[in-house]
Amino acid sequence: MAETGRLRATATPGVLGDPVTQLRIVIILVTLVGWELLARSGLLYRDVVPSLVAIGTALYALLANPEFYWHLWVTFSEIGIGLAIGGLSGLVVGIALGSNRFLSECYERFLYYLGPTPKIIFFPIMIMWFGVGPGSKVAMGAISCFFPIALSAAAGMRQIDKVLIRVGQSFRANTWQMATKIYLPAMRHPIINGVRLGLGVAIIGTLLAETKLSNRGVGFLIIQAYSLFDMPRMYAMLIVLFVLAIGANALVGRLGGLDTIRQK
Amino acid sequence: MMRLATLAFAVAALTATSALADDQLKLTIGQRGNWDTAITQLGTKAGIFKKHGIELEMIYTSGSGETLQPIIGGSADLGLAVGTLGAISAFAKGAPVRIIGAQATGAADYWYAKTSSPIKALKDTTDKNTIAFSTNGSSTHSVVRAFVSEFDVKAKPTPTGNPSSTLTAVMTDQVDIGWAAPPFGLKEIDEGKIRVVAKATDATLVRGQTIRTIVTNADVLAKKKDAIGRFMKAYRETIDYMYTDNPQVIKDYAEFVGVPEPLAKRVRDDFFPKALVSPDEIKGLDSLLQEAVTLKFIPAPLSKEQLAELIQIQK
Repeated sequence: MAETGRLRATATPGVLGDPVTQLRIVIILVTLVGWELLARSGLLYRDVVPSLVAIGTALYALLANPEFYWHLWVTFSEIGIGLAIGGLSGLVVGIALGSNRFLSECYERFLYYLGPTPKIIFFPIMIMWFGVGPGSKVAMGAISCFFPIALSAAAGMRQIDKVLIRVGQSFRANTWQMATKIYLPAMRHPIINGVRLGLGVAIIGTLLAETKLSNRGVGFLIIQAYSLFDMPRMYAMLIVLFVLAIGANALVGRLGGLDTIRQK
Repeated sequence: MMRLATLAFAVAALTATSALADDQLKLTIGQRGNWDTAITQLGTKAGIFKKHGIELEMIYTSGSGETLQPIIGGSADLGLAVGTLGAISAFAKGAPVRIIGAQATGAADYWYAKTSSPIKALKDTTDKNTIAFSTNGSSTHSVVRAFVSEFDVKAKPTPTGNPSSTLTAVMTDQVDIGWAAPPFGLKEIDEGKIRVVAKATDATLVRGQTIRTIVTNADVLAKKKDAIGRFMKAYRETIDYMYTDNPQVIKDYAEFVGVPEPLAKRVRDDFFPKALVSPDEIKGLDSLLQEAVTLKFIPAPLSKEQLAELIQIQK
């Protein structure tokens, strides 16, 4: 009891939050100070590692430019649609594989092999199928997030408590009822974890496609900044993306109730 | 009767509108920001393509491969700044590619060293130095090969990717001589960080060679021949416009690339003679075919019949 009390006392949030938050803030501050020192030291080429002032100025200019928000909207639409298509397909495939041993033994191994393959190799095919517009970028996002979501759903399906399945069967639930009342609620956490992993790779896939062939989107802006060697602007866009990706990830986790797992 | 007449008028009006509507062409364009790849952008801004009944959708790519791929697949109509060797290679492998014009004959690319480097010209290099080109088989690779054969350059050719990664490699002493295409690097030259040691046009071979082309798909060429013909007319008219004294040209280009106007003017006046962007002829075919064989793009030079099928300059 005394141990528990001490732990609780340590974890009590202060003005700057709990120790974990404080440590995170320290890590960020150390990184920023380290970056600035490196930029000023002259050890690395200054234009590749610009000072925080230059990046901050570029960030301000970027956020003050209304055109940037249009590009941001394009990219997030592509990611969102890609995630919806890839996520739903992954979920259906994952449930099918997780509930059927024969299908799992036939196909799941291929998913494990294809999962880590860099999806950019499929981009020429996506261009042929979906054109040079946003369609091919959405397809890249979808194909990127399909694998982690399908594999997580399959694993989650196998982890469902057999008692829950027997309860559903004893109530003579049909397939739809089994899926919506038993499988999906019981698989919520592995699916949300899969979606979080899928979101990350969907962002990478979509942005990579935009850098290769595009006339809109944040990936297009990033590669234009890089080709002009405008490094502060490029870093400013990466910061915006980084912050938005963190926000989206946290939102998915919260909506999926991952915070409740930690409390338990 | 009145109702029928109204309907007939509406149908006629709709038909007339369709007939007057501009033809839409989808372009993939490599090397955004270069003067020679800004022709369609500047022509569109000046209303020249519109005047010829052409509406353009321009999609920028990160290289010749990405520019060519949608053309082969039929998801874009025209590819601009496709490497000549790449187009020849794709055609030889059976891809339905047709070259309809030259995009760049000669090159505006230049090679530079750090100002602190002892290298002031190509003759100063030794076998301990390195000289950059973008990727194997690229136009910059051809230029470096020409430097080596024409000027007996001893430096070791090294692939370094695009101008941005090349500049980083040069400034961090990983490569001695880097390459760039204007306007990239002109700011660094003005700031005294780097100095030019050679221009692509120093090599005789490069001066007379069409290194990049305008391509289309054979099927698209058959179906949209009229629109492509009008596109090429507008393209030529834009080139004439770009070399007039009209200050709007430089203003639009500076805005498009995001550089100051004096620098934009320098790009045109110092690096891009009008002949470089002329689309009328594919020059240096013999040496190009020889190079394609040497670099294993094709097993043997194309026959006259094959060349006639591949190269169909649209007047």
